[in-house]
Amino acid sequence: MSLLARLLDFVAAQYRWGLHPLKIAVALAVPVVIVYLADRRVRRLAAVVAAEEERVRRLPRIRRR
Amino acid sequence: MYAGHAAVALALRWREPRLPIVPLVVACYGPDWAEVVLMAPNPRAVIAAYTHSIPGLLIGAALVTLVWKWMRRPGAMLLGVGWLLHWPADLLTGRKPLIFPTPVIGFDLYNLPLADFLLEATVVAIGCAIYARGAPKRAELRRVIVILGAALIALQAALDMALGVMRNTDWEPSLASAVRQSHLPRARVHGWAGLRMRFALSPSHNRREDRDGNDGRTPGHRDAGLPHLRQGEVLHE
Repeated sequence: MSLLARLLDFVAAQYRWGLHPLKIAVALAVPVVIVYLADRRVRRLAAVVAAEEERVRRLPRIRRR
Repeated sequence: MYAGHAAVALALRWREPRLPIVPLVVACYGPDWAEVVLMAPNPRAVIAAYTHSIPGLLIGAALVTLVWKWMRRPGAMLLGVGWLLHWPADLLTGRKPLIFPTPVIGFDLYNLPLADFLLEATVVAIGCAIYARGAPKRAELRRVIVILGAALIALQAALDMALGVMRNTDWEPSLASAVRQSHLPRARVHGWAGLRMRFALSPSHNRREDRDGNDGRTPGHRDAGLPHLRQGEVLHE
């Protein structure tokens, strides 16, 4: 059974066995974690980009060329 | 709506980059979290009628805004707006109460999983596009945002596939009914069945005529995928 089929079978099984608040909480936490991890990565990359731009801006004009 | 709420949070984040993303996403899922917390003492209680009604929504949004303002953190209003936007988003995919537990209104797209998936994927794409406007225009940043959108869409696809397999109720959009019944005439429901089946990705045993002709078994059971045995019957594989 492929990984995708296993995943779908698992999700379907959660419905089959009934929706407990704990399962709903897990389902709600997954997008929060995904968005948090992506946003953290974006902020770090943005900070690196901003630092690089600042470093270039502070260089003497002759060296920038 | 499932992944779409996260997309709403991403879109709102563009307005206030100093606002941490986790409280914003949690606020956009706020009524659902409130429902989970209130269901904890009694898992079978139907709390959604209160957390997702307009008065409950207003109370929740006001509370979260006031708490965030009291903490002197930026973006308190956005948290409240995120909480309030939960209701119109759910209106598209489910059926939600207005003021009292009944009537419930909504387009009920959860019973058309393919349409639900297309709608939520569009909302996620728009949310990610707005979020990307707040980030520097660099390829590596765009790549992360594309992966974020793909992950949310994949999550939604998993949910809709499960809904397509497990749901055995008809699509019943409602904007005014006080009882849970379809606006479609009975005869047209049969006419729509084929279309509904194509949208719903449902197995053939979900058809209305199959469920009605169930030779004494309980109609409308939600244990699709399991054999529905009567007392004394034995399952032979």
